[in-house]
Amino acid sequence: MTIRTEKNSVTSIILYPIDRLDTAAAPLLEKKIQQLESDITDITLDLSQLSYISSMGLRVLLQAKKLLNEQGKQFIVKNMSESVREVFEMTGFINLIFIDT
Amino acid sequence: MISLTIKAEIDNLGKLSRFLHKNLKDSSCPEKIIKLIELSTEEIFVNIVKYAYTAGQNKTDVIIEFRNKRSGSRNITNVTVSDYGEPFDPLKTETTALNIPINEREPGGLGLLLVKRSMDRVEYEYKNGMNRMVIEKIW
Repeated sequence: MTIRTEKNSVTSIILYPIDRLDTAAAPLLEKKIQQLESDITDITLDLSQLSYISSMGLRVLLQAKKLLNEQGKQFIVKNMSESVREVFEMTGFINLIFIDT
Repeated sequence: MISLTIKAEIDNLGKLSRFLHKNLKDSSCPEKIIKLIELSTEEIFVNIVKYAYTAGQNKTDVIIEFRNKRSGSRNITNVTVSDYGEPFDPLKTETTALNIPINEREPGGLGLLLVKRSMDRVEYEYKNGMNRMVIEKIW
């Protein structure tokens, strides 16, 4: 997995994880989110280029949401592919993370 | 039957994924089903890496067996994951309840929930000194 980033303004960023968010790749995304500059308050995770997610990937997203919300920041997940959405639905995570459809 | 033997290390996840992908593609399995089988096998493998081996143990091989049986227009894909870790039946642990906060959940429970929800059959047995998880998907 690689992560492409797109900074829209000083306070807003879009992260695009590409390909697979599996157990091996999940720590990369976790680190990326933890290391965001403190000025950034609006984080969007665009999953349009992600084809696969496992339970470890889901955990990282939920922990990211918790961390960012505690810091008073906005975290939105959007553009899930059908197979990624299915994993969110099977685990009930679809209700835990704010998803912009 | 086609099999793959790898060490119980997260770095081998790519090998596991390529093994399944190739064999399922050869069986003309649709991408959506491939993802579910890959997902279930990853979750089982990752649980083995995390929990099955105690320090000092050197039998760290994990054996993955792949079988696909076609009857008429129907396929039955069967994947068996075997390891030499301590006897442990993951199916006896309570599947993660969704209303429990994530940090308080049983480790591995979320992965197991995904296995149960995406496969048609999930079984465990301890045989010849090995834990064997069998998953089956009909498509």
